Amino acid sequence: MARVQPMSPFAEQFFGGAQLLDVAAGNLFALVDALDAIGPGFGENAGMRVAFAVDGTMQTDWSAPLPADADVMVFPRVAGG
Amino acid sequence: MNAPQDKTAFRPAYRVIGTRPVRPDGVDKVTGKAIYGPDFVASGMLQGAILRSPHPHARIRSINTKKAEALPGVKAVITGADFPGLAALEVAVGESSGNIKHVGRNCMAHEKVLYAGHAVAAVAATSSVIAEEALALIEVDYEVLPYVLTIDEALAADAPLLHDDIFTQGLDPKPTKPSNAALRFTIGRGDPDAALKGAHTVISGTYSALPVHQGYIEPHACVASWNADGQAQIWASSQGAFMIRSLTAAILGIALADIRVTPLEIGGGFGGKTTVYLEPVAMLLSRKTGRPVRLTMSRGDVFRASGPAPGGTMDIQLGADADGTITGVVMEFKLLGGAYPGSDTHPGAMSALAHYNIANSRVTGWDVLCNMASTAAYRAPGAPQTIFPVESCIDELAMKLGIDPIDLRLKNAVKPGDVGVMGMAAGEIGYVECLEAAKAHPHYSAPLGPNQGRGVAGGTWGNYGGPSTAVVSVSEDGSVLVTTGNPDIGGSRASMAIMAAETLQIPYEKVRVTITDTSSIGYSMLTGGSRTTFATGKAVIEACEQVIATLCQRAAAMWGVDAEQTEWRDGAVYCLSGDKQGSSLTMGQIAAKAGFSGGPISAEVSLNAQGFLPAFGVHICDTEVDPETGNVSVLRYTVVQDVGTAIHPDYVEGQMQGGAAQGIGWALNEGYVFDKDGRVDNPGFLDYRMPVCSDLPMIDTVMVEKPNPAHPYGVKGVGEVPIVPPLGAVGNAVSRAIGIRMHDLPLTPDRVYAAIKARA
Amino acid sequence: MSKLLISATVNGDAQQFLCDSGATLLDALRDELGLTGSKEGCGSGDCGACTVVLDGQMVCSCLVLAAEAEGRTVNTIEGVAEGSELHPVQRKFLEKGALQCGFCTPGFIVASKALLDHNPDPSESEVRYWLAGNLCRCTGYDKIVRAVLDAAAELRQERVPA
Ligand code: FES
Ligand code: FES
Repeated sequence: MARVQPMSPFAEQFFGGAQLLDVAAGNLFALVDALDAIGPGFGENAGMRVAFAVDGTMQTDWSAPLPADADVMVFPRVAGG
Repeated sequence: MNAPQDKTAFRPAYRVIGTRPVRPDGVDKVTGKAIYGPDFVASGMLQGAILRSPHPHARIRSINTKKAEALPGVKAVITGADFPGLAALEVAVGESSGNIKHVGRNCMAHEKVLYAGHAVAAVAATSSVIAEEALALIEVDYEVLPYVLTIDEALAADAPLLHDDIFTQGLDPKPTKPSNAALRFTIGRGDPDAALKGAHTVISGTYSALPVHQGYIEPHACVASWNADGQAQIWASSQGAFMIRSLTAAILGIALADIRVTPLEIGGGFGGKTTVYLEPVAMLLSRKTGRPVRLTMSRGDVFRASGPAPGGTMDIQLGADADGTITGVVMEFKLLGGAYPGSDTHPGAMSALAHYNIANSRVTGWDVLCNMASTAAYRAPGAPQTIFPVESCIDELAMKLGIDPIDLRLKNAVKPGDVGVMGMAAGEIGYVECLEAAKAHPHYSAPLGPNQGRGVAGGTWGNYGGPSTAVVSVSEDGSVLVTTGNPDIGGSRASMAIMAAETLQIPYEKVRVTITDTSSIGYSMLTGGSRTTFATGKAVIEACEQVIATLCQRAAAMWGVDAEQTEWRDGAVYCLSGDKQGSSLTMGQIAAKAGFSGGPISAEVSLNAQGFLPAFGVHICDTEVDPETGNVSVLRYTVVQDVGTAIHPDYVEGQMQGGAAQGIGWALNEGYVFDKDGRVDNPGFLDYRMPVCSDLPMIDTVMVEKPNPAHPYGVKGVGEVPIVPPLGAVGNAVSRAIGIRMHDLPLTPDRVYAAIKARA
Repeated sequence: MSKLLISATVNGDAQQFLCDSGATLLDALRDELGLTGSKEGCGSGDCGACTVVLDGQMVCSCLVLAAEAEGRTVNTIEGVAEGSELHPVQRKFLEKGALQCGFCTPGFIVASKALLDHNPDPSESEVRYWLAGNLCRCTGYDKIVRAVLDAAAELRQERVPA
């Protein structure tokens, strides 16, 4: 199970303010699907607005395998200039 | 004048990296041959013009274009109604496509105008004179609405709403009423309230900054040509031809492969050319007329209708132990995002404290809508505004505790391995090294005269990686072509050529670089987020490595040995065993025979670059304040920055100096002023005062090179962070010069004079 | 509205062009003569991107009417190099990395050459004040000033009889 910490505003918007979710997923694609089942609409947002950090490192390749007990942070993607 | 100093202790020996060759596009740019956005001409091209709202907030009751259409020479007039997409998108949008809806409606108003300068109609005509005349003949019936331009006005209980479908995001429970607050975002850890209560010293204050413009000298411009068969071409200057393609296609509902966007030379962007304003409009005019159409913004349009960076207010409380350890920070800031939800709140909140290791913190940001042009990214978006109050408080704390301001920062600075608020451990970052280099710099210990003050400030920016594509081809004579899809905004052709030459171990002059159109190469994310040298550079290096592997295979086949028996050295393949041992074949010799072996030698690499690291900088600023007038002069300025590896040091220093100059402008002179009717009152370079040559001293640079292990040559993004520290550095210098803490930017002479007066 | 026919010497060549009575010299150079090296950054005389030399005098071509060029001599960025030989100011801009986006560069080079034509040994602050009418948003001016000072030094060397 990955330990998923959704940050503001996603926690409020999709997960009823939950700070920690346990999700089984082999990679971030599967994780996004699983989170979308918990918070409908999350998946559609993930493509544009969400960034992930896996075990303390930014991960933009969603196909990379997710370690069994990964810590996943879900936070807003930011744009640069 | 001080000679630039380099700190290269960490760097391995390179042959080309770190040299300062002339950029490949240089001669075109010093002789006037380079073709920028407003320079491109297409055969049969019409001139377009855009009618813009004089009102900051109004409902469009009707638009009558009949008279304009009847004017001889006018070929087409369009309004929001001609954007089939605008209404449809409104129906189709979920949260996620809201973005596209807003971008589209920012290009052409739909039902309502949200700022003075918002486009309401456009004309294509045989000359710009006729197009302008036609604009005057368009009749728009407005129902003028009350407007908001400040945070207090926008958040007042009875404030007029810009959008009735925007509900504050990030509130629990979800609000039931729409609001001008588009977003609330909080980030933090520990118990900052308790930490402040238990602190030895608490520094607090309310700070503010005005909206400022990116100020690129080239106004937005494009030419679009949309044929009857549905295929289109756009020629435009921007930070990303692929960005123009995706936004234009989404707004107009056409297939990506049907639009070919050719990047023209770009005359500055700084984040402001990361979206579309004109392209979808020019496309529709072209479809209606069957001819290519040019649209260009005037400087006034640029100020009124293209993205400023948000101003805002920042409340901060910072607590520390007696030894200067920062124990807790609570900060709340509100940024004026303009007509549509802005993008600076998240990065602003994430950056605010990211250069310090603070156990207890809470940073809350609000994105507040107002009747000003929609904000766009500006170099490290959000970070200058949120780091300014932090660096001001630290300066105040240093004075109060009698600690040297650099020592105080060193005590709290984030180091590799420190875990940040987002749970991520810092990589090979160099903030400490920057602070140490600043402290050792002669500037820091130089004597000061009367009415002078020295300010120090640090700052950080996260940078980015992401998707990029590069092609490397070996010509038949052994010369090398590198092709990318990233507009060269400040010398990136040179850095691509340097990295290719380094990898191939050939002279820089043997490599030529082309920036190509969206139909000629795989996707690259735009030139922004300080990502190009890192991410596109990685693609170039990998493509060079593939080319080397192919060259070795071809040579091995010619010698009848295994590829393992060859070695790449000095731009040639060497045979390591067999009877050909010691023989070598140059790139030219192998490439000339390509037709007799596996065919042309080239490689295209598309990747999603991981492992980017944030940038850190420390700036030192000396100012002198004239007590009679409040005028501030910048006497001396030094920029210290962790640059990873400086690929072409001139252009790295150039980023550091240019960013510092922009930050100095933000701190001292620049800011949007609105008149009593809610219009920008200073939409020109005379009244919107950017630093000129005589305002500034030489800007000394110290490049600290702490390589990024995730890049073959150690590259870190360098472009954005230099605009972050100046607000604090200048603010602290002025505050120390006059002995009064200054909270509100810009520090114009009247404000400084009033502060001096108020004390006397 | 009928157009005016203007005759002028542009970069040494006799040229004729048609223009509206309200057209600026900058418009005429860019749109009629195809000399797009002079840029429009503001159209109001505040950025210097359109700088040209008119009868030996540095002007913002966005503030001059095209019709005013009648019978006069105009020198633009396209005429600064002698054939394919770059002027020392152009060369020093390249060697010193004094441009990033390059949009302001034509104006700076024309203005810098005009300075050195008239003052071969300017101080740093003379350079800064002379160029104060040219905006650059990219460089912070440091490398531009160094390039101009270097070009001045090189030109003085050249002038010294061997
Ligand atoms: S365009 Fe002439 S001064 Fe700016
Ligand atoms: S180099 Fe871009 S404006 Fe000067």
